[in-house]
Amino acid sequence: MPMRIGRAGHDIDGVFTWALEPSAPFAFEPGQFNMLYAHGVGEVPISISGDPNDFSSLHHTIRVVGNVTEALAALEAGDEVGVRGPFGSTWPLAEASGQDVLFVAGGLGLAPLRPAILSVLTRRSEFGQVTIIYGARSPTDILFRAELERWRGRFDVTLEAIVDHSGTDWYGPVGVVTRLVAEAEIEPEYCVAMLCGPEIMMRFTARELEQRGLEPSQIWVSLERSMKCGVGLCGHCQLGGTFVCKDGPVYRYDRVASKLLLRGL
Amino acid sequence: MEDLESILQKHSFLADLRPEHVKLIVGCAKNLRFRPGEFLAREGQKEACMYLIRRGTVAIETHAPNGETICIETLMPGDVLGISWVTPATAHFDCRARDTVIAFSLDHDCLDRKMREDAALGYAITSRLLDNTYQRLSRLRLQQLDVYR
Amino acid sequence: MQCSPGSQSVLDAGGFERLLALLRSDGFVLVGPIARDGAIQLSAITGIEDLPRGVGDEQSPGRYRLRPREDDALFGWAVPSQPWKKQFLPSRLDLVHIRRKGSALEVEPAAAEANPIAIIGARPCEVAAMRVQDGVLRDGPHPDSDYAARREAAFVLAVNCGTPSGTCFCVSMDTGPRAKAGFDLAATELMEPNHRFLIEVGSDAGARVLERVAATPATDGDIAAAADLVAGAAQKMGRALDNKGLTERLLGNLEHPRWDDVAERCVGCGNCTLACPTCFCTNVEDSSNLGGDVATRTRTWDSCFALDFAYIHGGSVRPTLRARYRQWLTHKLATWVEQFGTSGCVGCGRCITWCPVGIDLTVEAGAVGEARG
Repeated sequence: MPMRIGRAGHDIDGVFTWALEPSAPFAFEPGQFNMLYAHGVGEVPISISGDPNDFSSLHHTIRVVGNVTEALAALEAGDEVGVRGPFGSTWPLAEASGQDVLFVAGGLGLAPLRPAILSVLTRRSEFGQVTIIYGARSPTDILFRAELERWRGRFDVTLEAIVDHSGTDWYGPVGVVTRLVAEAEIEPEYCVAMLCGPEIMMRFTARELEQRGLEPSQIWVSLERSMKCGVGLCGHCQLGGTFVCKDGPVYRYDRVASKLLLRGL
Repeated sequence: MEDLESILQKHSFLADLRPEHVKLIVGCAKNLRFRPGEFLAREGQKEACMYLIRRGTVAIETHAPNGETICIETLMPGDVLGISWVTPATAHFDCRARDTVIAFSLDHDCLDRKMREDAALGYAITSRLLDNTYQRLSRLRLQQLDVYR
Repeated sequence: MQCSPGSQSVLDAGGFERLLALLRSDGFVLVGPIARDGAIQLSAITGIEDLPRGVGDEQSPGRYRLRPREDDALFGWAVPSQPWKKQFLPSRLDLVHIRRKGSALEVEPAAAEANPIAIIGARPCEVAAMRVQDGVLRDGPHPDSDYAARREAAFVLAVNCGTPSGTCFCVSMDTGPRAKAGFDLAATELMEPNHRFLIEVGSDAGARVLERVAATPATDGDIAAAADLVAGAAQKMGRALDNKGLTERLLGNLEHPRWDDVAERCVGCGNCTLACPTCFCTNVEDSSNLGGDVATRTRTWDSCFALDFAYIHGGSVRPTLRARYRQWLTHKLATWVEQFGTSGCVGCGRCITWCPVGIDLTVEAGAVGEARG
């Protein structure tokens, strides 16, 4: 389905966000992705990064890593792009209702979590403590910085950000996200944790959370694999007995942990 | 006002340390305050003590010839600064108070002597240091992976 | 005579020819086996004269040969070199043309409606394979519409097997040598005392066609002869696969040294996936005209043995042959069951025959999990 790019904005180095204008209301659930098509070049899976309650504007945050994303980056507001979706599983907002919610995002992993965070903030009273932990490579690599600062300013959200290294332009903590996870104020019994970032970071974070007393069944992760068709027909994204495009990308950690520990599965 | 012994015991590094051991090391400890920007340790200088941070943030830094300061890690309340103390080495990094930092210092020579005299205290402190070092090491390994690249 | 699903009748060679002619006149393109370039291949055929008369085959790991038979059987071989899946899942299919007009994109469907085909002479294992692919491509929540349409329009004339090869193991997989379901008509070719076909009706469509061919009712003798033939075939399986606990054994031994061993022999050519009647993986290629204004998305067969098959930003998820062979075998025999409720293997033996280095799936599957010798 062709969709017009309403607004195109630069986020951080090599990363941009589009607000697409669907011709009909576009509904999706937090955690889902679309296949975005660059004319004549190809299609790539990109998670939806916008507000699920906004049906008139579809947001995608894209990092330039290959020839398709390079072609997408060359498009401007007013151009049309191919969109297929939404595909895939969703963050467990229903399960999280009535519980504390812990979001742990790393790098660009904040984009697929953003719709879930926005949903939780919209229905804030349905949840207990809301904690957001964000890790980035350096202060200039912090995605959606203004919004993170806005969320941090709320009385009903705890937000901590940490960077792997910094100069003197950063006043927050320097280190890895697991450091903040180790110290986060959580009640292990009443907590649902949603993790998104590089797979290694999610594995380390899940381990830290388990040390804090969370069961793997309270932890959810979003995985990346080679996704082509989006509906479980092409075989590319297989992970054990699942296809990441339709059984994922969001998985309960206890269902994939052993698969992630095996090389080349 | 609480005495040094009872507040020392509350530091997470010394959590569950036997009271007689706390008594033994209290003589090595001082409660210090650092102003923002003040250095707790300097690269190349001998570290005469280790610090148990109680308040504030300490940045572990180095610098490049172009004047750029690179922060490798920040330490927060509950952390231990100066684990290189275990070897008679000089500091590898600058350790700078980012804000007002309150910390206990534990004098090296004093602590070393008491740990040698009382093997149980020696074990208790050494195992805490090892545990702390391992946690720092595993975080640094993750950091070194540079996963957000 | 009256025909209905389950009824059995007999056609002589002339009757079989009339059946093919009727299917043609009903608008079906007949696709059947022919002997060409030293192999039984699948091709459009016009009638009985195109079928491989008096030809048999020999198959063993990494080896395939045709040999003359002493009789004039038309289906006197085991399985053709190619699987039938191409009829429903073409190896190349243009999906859409996308035209750029200024800043806008216009999408036009590219797939022309294909003529319905009549499958002539699919073996029971191959009919089972069609049903396995149905489970993946048609019966899930997101059916492949092109596949479903081709499948819906097709007529399946199965031919039960009397001549398994050295790489066959349909008995282990419970898919043959007699077709149980999934066909419109199923024939058993009988040579003694005269050349004839016992025809079993599998669907209403099959019944309607057969009624117009003027078949004669099957005698007890015909039925017994056909039963003897497939019973004999069941005794002649070249291979066997022990299914007992197979899924658990494979998935419980993902780090078994046998994977390293097979990776030493596997050349990663992907022949097994092309020859397999159930392998369904596809890719989509993008191309455009010289002007750059019209782009085409083309679906092509893909193989999990290709290095870039599981490529994500930064590299392949399965960079080693060990990982790729393990993916193929464990999917076929284990995780397929998790996903679709059936094995992904039907025991046709093609992956064994057409492996250039003769890797034998039944041997590998048996060896994974065995104690080191």
